Amino acid sequence: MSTPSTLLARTGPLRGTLGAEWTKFWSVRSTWWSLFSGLALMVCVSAILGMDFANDVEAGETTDGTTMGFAEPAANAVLLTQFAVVAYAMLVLTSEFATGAMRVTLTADPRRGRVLLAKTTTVTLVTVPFALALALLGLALGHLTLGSHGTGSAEEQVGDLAAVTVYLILTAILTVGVGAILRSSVGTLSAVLVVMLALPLIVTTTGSEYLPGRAGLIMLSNEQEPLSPVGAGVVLAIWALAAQLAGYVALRRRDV
Amino acid sequence: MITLERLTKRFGARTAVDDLSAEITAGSVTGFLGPNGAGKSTTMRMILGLDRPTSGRALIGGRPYQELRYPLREVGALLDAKALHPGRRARTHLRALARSHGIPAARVDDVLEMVGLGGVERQRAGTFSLGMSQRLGIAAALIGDPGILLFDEPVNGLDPDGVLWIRTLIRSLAAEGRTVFVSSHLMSEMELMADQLVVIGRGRLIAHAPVAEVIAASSQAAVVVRGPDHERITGLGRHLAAAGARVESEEEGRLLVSGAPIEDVGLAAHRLGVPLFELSSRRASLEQAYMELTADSAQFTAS
Repeated sequence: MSTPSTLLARTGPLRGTLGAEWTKFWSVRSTWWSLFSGLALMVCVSAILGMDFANDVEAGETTDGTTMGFAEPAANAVLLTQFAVVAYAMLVLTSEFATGAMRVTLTADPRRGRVLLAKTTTVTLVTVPFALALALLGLALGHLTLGSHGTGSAEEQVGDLAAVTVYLILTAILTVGVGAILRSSVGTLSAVLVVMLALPLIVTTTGSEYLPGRAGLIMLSNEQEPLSPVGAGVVLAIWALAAQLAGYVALRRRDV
Repeated sequence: MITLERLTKRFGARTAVDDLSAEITAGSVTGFLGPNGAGKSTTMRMILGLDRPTSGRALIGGRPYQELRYPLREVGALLDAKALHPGRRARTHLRALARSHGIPAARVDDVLEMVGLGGVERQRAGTFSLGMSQRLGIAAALIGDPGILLFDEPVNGLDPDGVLWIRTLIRSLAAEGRTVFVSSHLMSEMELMADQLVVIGRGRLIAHAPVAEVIAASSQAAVVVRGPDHERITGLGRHLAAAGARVESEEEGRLLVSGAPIEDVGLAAHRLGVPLFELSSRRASLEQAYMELTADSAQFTAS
């Protein structure tokens, strides 16, 4: 009240909340740790997968051919690497619920849908370039380690790059939604781990391709049956959207 | 102004806030009192739109909190000083809040100075003592220069200097015409800080009145009458009792009169020709008044 003129809002509520989320995202160390872990995991795992395969071929120990797609190490490494993305994606919500800071966030913007949108947008804005960087890194390591044992046209490699990138982006969006439903870090991490990794290994019956985990694997493996990679991507996107909607409903209905 | 309209909150079978109606007006400090578990924090969360009322509503200047376009410029709140990311620097915490409302960064430095955290703004919030966290929470509440302020137990964990500082700040915020709604368990503090009181017990409104009125209503507030002549003092007591006052006598020649102003007691003594050695007011403390008010509704008391 004392200095109203200097405090006039110069921003719309969505832009403001998005800006606040962006500032908060980059001001905690867990973000940097997650990003660093993601890079380290991608480098290590894709390099090991590529080198292993190349060594096996040279030792004559392979059972499934003598070539591997250049992007295949990256596509497999992403199954582990995704948890670095899951970590920072869930923390935008779960860390605030754990500390009670969500109350501060929601007093600054009481529209919960807008807060979820701002948090999801922040995570997406970070994940798009980060996922692309991870995919490129993995592909580069595939080239480096597979050498003459690698295969794949430029087109195929671009397709694989896109698959890895989109997979990570959709998983991040899904994770934010799950975080809004479950609120706890352990719960969210477990749920995403089960849905994206464990479930597709256990449930392999017909129809399981419409579950997010199997759809994700189909996307990454570049198979055409029972779904095309694009079709599988659409399935995963629908799940990510569903998680967001469920998260929105949970956020609106429950007290904070 | 904050308006509570038949505000009710149930958690399953337990009623935390029960049909609470009150108006918290601008330009004064309204103290919010009640035993543990009486529903104070729940009420504050409902005012801020964090908890959804089971029925009734809480309004900020006539509108629900969710409808405020720039809420931090209308309402500032400190609920839990430790409710922030421990790894974030104090200044960044405020910068994020400011950014949500397009408030310039200079204001962040202003409020940091205002609460005395100017030198430690680059420290991570997790390294702060409770007192420093309270100051940071107050800085966050003030960032949008709001007309309405809510503080939940603001003097908790503060050293005497900090308590004095908060009291002075809260008084000055109200003097500037703001609405200040503050809960505290510290009665002596509330007596110094508040103009108005909202007292609740088991979620229900027990009293909503100026502090002076609440204290005056206490049975402990009394007029002390003492004289040399036991008989005539007793006669004066009977006379006052007949006029509607409550009269007690714990020792010979001494009366405790409540429910009658000291002037009436003096005039009655004069009329009846009763010689007096003492005619004095005994003021109750807010603590005594509060204890009487909430005696029936304390949920967690030692037996």
